[in-house]
Amino acid sequence: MVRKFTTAAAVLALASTALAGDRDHWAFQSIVRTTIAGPANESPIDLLVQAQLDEAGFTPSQQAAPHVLLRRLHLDLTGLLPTFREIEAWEKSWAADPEKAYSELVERLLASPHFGERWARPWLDLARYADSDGYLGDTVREWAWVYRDWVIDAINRDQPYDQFSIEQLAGDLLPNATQSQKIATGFHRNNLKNTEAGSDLELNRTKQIVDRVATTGTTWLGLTIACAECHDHKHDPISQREYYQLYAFFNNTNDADISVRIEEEWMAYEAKLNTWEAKLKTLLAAVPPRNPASKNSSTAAFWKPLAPDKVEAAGTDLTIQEDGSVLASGKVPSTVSYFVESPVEQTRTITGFRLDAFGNFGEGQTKGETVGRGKSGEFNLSMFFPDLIVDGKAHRLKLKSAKATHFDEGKGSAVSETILPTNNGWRITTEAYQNHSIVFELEKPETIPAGSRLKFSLGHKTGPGDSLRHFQLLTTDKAGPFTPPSEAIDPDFVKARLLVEKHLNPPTKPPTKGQTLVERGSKDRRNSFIHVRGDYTRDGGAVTPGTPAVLNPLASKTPNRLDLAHWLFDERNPLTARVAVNQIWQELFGIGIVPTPDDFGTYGEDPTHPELLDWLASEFRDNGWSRKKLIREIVHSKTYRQSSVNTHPEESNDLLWRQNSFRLTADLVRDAHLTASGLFSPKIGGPGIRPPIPEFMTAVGRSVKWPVSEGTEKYRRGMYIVLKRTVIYPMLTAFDAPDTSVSCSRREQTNTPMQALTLLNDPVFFECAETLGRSVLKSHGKQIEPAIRDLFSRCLNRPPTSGELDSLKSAHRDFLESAKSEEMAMIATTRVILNLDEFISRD
Amino acid sequence: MASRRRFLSNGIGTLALASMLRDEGLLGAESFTRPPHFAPKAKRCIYLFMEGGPSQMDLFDPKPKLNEMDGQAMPESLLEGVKFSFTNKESARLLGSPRTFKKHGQCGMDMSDLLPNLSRHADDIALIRSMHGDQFNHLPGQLLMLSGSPLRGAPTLGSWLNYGLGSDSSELPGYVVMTTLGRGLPGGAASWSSGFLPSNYSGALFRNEGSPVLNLENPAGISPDMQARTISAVNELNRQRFSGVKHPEIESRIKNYELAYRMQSAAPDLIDLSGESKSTIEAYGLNRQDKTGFQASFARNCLLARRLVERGTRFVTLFLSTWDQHSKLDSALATNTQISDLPVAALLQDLKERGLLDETLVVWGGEFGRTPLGENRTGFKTVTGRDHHPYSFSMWMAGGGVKGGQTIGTTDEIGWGVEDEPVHVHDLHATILRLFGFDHKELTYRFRGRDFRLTDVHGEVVEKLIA
Repeated sequence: MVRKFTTAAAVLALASTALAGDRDHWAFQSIVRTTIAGPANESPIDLLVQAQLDEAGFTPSQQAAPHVLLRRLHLDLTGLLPTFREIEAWEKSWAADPEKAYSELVERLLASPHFGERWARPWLDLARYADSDGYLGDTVREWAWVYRDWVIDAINRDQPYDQFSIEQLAGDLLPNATQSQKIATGFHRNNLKNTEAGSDLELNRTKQIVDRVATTGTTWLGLTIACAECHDHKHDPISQREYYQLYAFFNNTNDADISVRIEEEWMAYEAKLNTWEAKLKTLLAAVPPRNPASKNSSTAAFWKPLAPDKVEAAGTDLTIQEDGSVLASGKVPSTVSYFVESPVEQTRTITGFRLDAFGNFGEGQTKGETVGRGKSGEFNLSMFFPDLIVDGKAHRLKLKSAKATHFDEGKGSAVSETILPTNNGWRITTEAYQNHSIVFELEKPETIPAGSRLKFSLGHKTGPGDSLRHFQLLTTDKAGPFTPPSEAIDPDFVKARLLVEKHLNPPTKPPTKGQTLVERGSKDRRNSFIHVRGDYTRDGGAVTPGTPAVLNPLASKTPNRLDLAHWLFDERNPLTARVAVNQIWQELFGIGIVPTPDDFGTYGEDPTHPELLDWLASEFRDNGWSRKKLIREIVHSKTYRQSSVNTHPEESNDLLWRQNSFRLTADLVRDAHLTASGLFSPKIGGPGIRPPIPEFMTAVGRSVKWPVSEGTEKYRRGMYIVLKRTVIYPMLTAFDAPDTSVSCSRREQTNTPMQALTLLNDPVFFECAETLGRSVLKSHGKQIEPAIRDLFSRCLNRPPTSGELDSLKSAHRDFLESAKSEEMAMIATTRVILNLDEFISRD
Repeated sequence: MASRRRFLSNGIGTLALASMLRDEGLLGAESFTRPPHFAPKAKRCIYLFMEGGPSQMDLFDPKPKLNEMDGQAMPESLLEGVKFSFTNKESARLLGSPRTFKKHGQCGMDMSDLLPNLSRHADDIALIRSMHGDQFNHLPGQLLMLSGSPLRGAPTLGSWLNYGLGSDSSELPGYVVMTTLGRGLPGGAASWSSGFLPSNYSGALFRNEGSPVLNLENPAGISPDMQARTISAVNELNRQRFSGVKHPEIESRIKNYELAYRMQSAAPDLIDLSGESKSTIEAYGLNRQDKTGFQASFARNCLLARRLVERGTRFVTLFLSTWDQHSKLDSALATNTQISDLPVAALLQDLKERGLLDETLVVWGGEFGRTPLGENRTGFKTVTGRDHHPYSFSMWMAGGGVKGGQTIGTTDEIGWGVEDEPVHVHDLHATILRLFGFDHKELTYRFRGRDFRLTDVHGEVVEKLIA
């Protein structure tokens, strides 16, 4: 072994002797593209890997079997298992021409819209993407997904990595920034945010900036810059001053939520709008003329309207109109009493009262008005008390009977037309757009003296909101009994007009917003200074934006965030390209060329293939920062295509004498279940989903709202599960999904009994087993061998070995004996396959 | 095969089936252990990890001179030979402790008024006041304390012990980790990682709310027999895969399926506290109700730790975050001790009463301590906290063959540096391994061509700690 091993302990030994802040460290040196000597048809990747293998005396592995390659490419490029049909097509094309088949498959997968999803996920880990603020409040970020979808789309359209990055760091500062560029700038809105009342606002703000600096360092520079927050970096050449110079770039932004027009949503909205307009037109055309004989002659002149001078109601506004009617406006209280007072100008006798409640149908697109203020325009008058006030003393006037034009069955017991006002009330709900009246006859005629006052108490006690909207009170001196005036309206008109009324609200415009940052204006700048010991209240001297001296110089004298973003992509920047290709390599080999993707500093591990790292970095730059081109190049290499079989278990695979085999990430474990079972819903983007979670997570008192997604929504990819920071979906956590509190450049790979329990017993995974088991039973009936072959193809994308067939047949026999049900036996057999290590592995 | 089916159809219970499968080698129990080098005193360990760095001079190491000099600059005489890492000598001011200390137990151990319950166990405790390390920041400090290396990638203590001794429980993980509700852990899984050891030696993180372990029940329609048969089939097929591709992770997965199966029957019993007496619940303080729920959460973890070691779990780590009091030290420390003092004392008492303490090592400590200097803001009156301090800090151990009732090591008058009997983190690790019967230089694992050990190339056993 020629290569120096960079194990943790070796690095420790190295670090303890190395000078802190070693400027000669490899990662700070320029990227050097090695001239590669070798046959032109050989991939430079292979030549560089081979050179190191030769030196160490290793032979590379054979190309993996075709079915392994198919599955590997599917998982690496789209994260989805191949379908039954795709497997068949692959086998055929492979038999005809393996090279052509391979290239075609790579092209098809690179062009798949699921490519963007697969490659967005690790980026979202870096962006510490989540759908809530975190901390105690953990408010949901309703629009976080707009940024997530931007990432998926940018990767799908292979936006060059430099632009992709610049837009995320400073899209708002680009000339004539587009909506898409502003959404991209939401990268730095994904950090935790403490909105708890009473917390130190400036402390919270500085904490967010600190996180933005750290995340920028991890994501683009592969440096643990955050270590220099409180003091000079312990082992990398970054001073505390330089840290705050970086901090200064981010110190002058405001969070902003901007309205965004998402084409898909907008198209859906416009389609809805068109349908709505067309329907309205039809509905309007169907309205017949209102019955001309609508005026009732019994609204005889003997009813005299009162002229109130005082109205009162708690929680809403009553105003007296010119004609003496009373109009309620403003807030709608749940229950309310109206008090109406009217002066008596000359002594007279009265025999009864009339209450008119006004409604009216609208015309054309003008909305009508309802009699009541309830949700459906209803009112429910539950009390009606007239009082006569003489010399400041009130006495109640007794009523003999009441009769209404119309009443509806209301709350409580039914109201009779003849019974005096009771607590049950007079309720109108079905004919809410027309006028209604109720007449009351006094027990005996009353003389009301001049100078006295009439006071009416109109109670609405049932709620919610079912109070009168517009009404008028009248008196008469004619002897009873009275008949309330009624409007004769053509019922067809009513029916048709009601349909119009219900359809008058146009569909609402999509309320979608983008979370972004905007630079503060020139009058509103914050000064940046060194925070002594990381304490923002301790000014350790002013700083202006700047970059660490150990890296390439910054051209501008007064740089802003956009200059910082451009600086990352300066040809002389030694880190950005290396860090980026390392991230991509890590996805395709399970481990980066630099195994510590977040630390290219002196405490990080050295690259296993320094020349290859530089070659890839310069290649990435030279190909126009095309992610797809780079991935195409890597997956075509022999190095990538090697078998992962561990033929020398005692040997480390640092030098890549084989491919690595690794467990699928949490999201992909879910996706594999969904695709294999056929439950998978391929919808891309949009608001997140909420699969069922254990009850205790949303128990009363935690006030966590988790409305479980309905229909096919709940079968969408794992990456769409709402990431509520305090309630991360447990299956994701069990399989090492990051907690989203900080930027994550590499997921842990644990292997725990809890993962086994999840795969065995999690309700979603069991549903997948049930669905797939039933479907296989339907196709193959009692023929177990074809059923097993089918299951293998769907889940492992290969035929079973005879040993595997025997094992599963035997297990199936035992299941049948235990379960006494063909269906359950097949489900149990399916469940075995869904629990295999291979099923959740990428070989 | 025929005999298994016969048993199945005869309705033999799941446990019988499981043991039979094991006999057939289908559910192979962990049997690979390394012979100890010494007669072990400790068999199990409960590690109470007080993340953030508890302030030793407010809890365990009274410094009257420091109190006297409160608000003054460090005197030149004391500055001599003292290494500052990043504190400004000019602006640094000493910060006294408002705590009152008393001597406790027959041994007369110093503990502050914040530890009214723990102090009753002074005679069981070996207090080390001369701990020191070399990592200033939390994560490297935590990794050093837990794995002997400040970098990710090394196995943690619990992994080493399970690797060395195997698990005493075939039904529960040999290494269990619990964090306190709402008070997570910055280091995440690195703090219980098995590093380069096989991944089945890593800590199993139990959830800190609701059920500590989810998915313990079989889905509807899957009988216990079918579940057992499922596991045996899964592992049979996984073994076939392993024989072909030889990925070591498959072996870990096989073991985890066996363990998962047994956990299904053992874990519900473990986490069901209904059998605990009212007095036990009260002693641990499970019934305490603070607004945040932290108190009850940590108390429950302590009780679960006892139940785990009772059932053979080798190593339990309870994390309590955070003791990182750069400011508001007095009130925050009081909050932390309100959460922890009662349950920790109850744990010691409970272990003792059940005769478990002799074989159960209890370790208490953080990744470092705190400075005698206050973190000065805009003048002495607003100094409310202390900074990280790896040069000298306090930890304690009890049970598991530790000689209790003694205080090891001294620090200087203001508590800046260690004066006598320094105990480095590596020394502590060497001693812990010795208590479990291992020579820390001999417990090794070959990885990438080198024999690695917990103490790297360091570590001296502190003989005085051993009974």
